[in-house]
Amino acid sequence: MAGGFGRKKAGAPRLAAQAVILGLAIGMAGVLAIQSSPDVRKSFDGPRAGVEGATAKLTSGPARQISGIPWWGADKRAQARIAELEAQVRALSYYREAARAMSERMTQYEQLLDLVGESPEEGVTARVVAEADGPFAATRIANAGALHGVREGFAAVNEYGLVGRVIRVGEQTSRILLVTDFSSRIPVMGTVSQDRALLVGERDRGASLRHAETPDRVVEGEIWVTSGDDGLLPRGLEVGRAVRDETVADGGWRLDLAMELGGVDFVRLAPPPQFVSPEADPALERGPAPNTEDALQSVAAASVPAVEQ
Amino acid sequence: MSGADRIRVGLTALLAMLISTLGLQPAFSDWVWPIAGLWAAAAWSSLGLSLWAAGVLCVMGLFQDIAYEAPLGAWPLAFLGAYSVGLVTMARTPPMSRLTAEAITVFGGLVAAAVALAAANDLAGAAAFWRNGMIGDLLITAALYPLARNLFPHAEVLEARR
Repeated sequence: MAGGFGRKKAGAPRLAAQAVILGLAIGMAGVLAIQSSPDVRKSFDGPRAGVEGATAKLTSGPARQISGIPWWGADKRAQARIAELEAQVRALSYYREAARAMSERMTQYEQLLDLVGESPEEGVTARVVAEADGPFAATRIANAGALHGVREGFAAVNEYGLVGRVIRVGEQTSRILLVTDFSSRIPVMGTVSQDRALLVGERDRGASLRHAETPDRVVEGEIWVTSGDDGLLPRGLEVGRAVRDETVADGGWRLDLAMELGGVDFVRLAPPPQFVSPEADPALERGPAPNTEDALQSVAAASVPAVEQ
Repeated sequence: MSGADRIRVGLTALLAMLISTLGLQPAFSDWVWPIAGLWAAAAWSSLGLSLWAAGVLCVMGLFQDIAYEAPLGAWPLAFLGAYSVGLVTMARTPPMSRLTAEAITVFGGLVAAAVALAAANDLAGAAAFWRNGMIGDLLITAALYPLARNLFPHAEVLEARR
């Protein structure tokens, strides 16, 4: 079909198709550009959470199969691990009783001193079913979601220390942003130096301490915990041990993260501390009732005859 | 692209997404993991320009964005970049040997993908970009391509074409 709009002969350039592909690429660039707005990025959370549920189902199936494969020597290692854990349980049972007694005593002291305590929060234990370590984010997907009471902002902790916090919740899954992610910022404090700093995630070396108040007082090897200054994470969750690292700008300290002492397999998802905001504080309502228009009028009416007399 | 090719492209896209999903297994968290979408982009480019293939690459990319918590549009841009490099190279202008064309398709495609991802990071205003982790994934993708291309529909690049 010479000169018409029919299909061109083989080998001829397909300009329209090339233009469509270029348009697709430009369209994707546009989608990326509008995501620089946090509000727009937030609006994608719903669909993302839905797909994450499907991804978690896809990954949790093979994970069960892989864990069920009888690896060479696995039985012997499993027996040794069970014996080790039993010994740990025996050793820890003493501390559990001691902690229970101390907790009761502390509650009584708090009552005596009229001190507002920070009671240990409830939480949910979940299994990590997917790990995404792409170039953009370091995250994990846990198999507990809104149906189990998990909400955005919950802290994720494994048996060694803080893992991260929940950034998105689906019905039965939740995505955890690791403390090693570039966008992770957590206020922490040293248990010995009492110094406070911001823990900034770094993919290659874990996390570094930035904006320390008094970096000279930081002690090598001291345990750092969450300070709870942001009101988002509970205070006192172990994060890691301080290590001198001259390559870290702004103080020269990083943390050997406690969560990396073992695999991130099971995590406890704990809610943020429930501080009462001043506006919602009901203490004022218990005081004398405020004056009303009627009350003022009745007082005025009662006082008028007295003046006339 | 024939109807049969379209079906094969669609089915192998599902395979690529499954391979990506397997990389999310906690057991493989410390492994470098190939980017199956780039295998598909390189292999499909040998079939010639196809809107169907480009569209399927976009869908695969969006899935990868969600699974790997990337800004939406980052991986589609990377796959389209690799696909475009493959298309240009497979046209074999200027004339070049088959081996050269394949090598440029794979390595040029990976470079295009890496550049596209870095650009996507800047466009979306993401916090940062983990180059070191990605380099391992790209290298394993290139190393396994000679085997992996057989999983995807592709055309042998014949010497007679040039």
